[in-house]
Amino acid sequence: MKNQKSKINAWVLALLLLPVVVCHADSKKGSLGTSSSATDYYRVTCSTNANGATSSLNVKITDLVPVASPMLSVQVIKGIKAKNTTDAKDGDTKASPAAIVQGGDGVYEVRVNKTESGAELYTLSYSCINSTGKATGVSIATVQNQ
Amino acid sequence: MNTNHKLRVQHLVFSLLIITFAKLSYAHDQSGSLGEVASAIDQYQVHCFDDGFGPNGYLDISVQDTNPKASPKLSLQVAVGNVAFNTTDAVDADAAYSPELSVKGNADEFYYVTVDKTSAGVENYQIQYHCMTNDNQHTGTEIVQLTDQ
Repeated sequence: MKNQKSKINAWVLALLLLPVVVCHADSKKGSLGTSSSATDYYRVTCSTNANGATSSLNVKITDLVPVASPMLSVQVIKGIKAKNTTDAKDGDTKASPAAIVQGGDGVYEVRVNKTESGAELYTLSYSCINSTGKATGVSIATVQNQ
Repeated sequence: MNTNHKLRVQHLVFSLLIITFAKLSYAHDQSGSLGEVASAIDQYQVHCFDDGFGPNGYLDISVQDTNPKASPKLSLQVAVGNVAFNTTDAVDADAAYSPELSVKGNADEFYYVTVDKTSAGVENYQIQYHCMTNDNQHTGTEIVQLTDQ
C-alpha cells in the first residue's frame, strides 16, 4: 500500500511538473501607437542550458482589448529563416498560431506590427525549446518601442 | 527637310531617348508571391550605394497587393540597424500601393525587407523601392532575395 501511494505521489508530481517542463513560455506585454507604420522590435536570445541546445524559438501574439480594427502580426527572423503569425481576432483570450523558427541557439529578431492606424495592446509569448520540447535558455531585449 | 527642321527632329528624338532611359533606370519594381500557409514570409536585402549620383540618404519603399483578390492583407516591413517600420496595402487588387515608407540609412546601407500576410491563401505582390540621396536624387539600388516562401 505504501509503495502504491508513493507511486501515485510520483505520478501526481510528474503531471504537475509536465506543463512547466513542456510548455514553459515567457511573455511580455507591449503596445503599438496610432501610426500604421508602428513596429515594436525585440531581440530574443536562445541559449543552451541544462536541457541542452535550442532547436527553435516559438512565438505567439495575443491582440488584447480594446477591440479595434487593426490586425496584429509578429515576424520572427534568424538569417534567412523567417515566419509570420497573425492574431485573427482581437480582444479574445486566444493567441495566434505559433511562429516557429528552427534557428538553434543565438539571436532572433522579433517584430510586432499592425495592418492599419490605431493604438493596440498585445502580449508576446516566446519560448526557446530543444528538439524534445523542453525549455532552453531565453532572454529578451527591446530594440524599438513605437 | 531643311537643316533647322532636321536638327529639331534630332533634338526631339534625343530628348525622348533621355527621358525614356531616365524613367527606366528610375523604376525599381520587384514582383513576388507568398504561398498558401499563413506563416509565409519573403525576405529581401536592398543595398543602397553611391553609383555616381551621390551617397544614400534614405530608402523609399511600398508594396502593392496584386491579383488575385483574396482575404489576406499584405504588409511589408523594413529594418535597418535598430529601427523597423511597417506598411500595409489596405485594398487588394486595386492600382494603389500601400503608404510609402522613407527609411533613413548610412551612405552605403543594407536594408532588410520582409513581406507577409494576415491569413492563409496565396498572394501576389509588387514592391516599389528607390534609394535616394539626401537631396532627393535617385542613387544606386540593388535587391537580393533571401527567403522565398
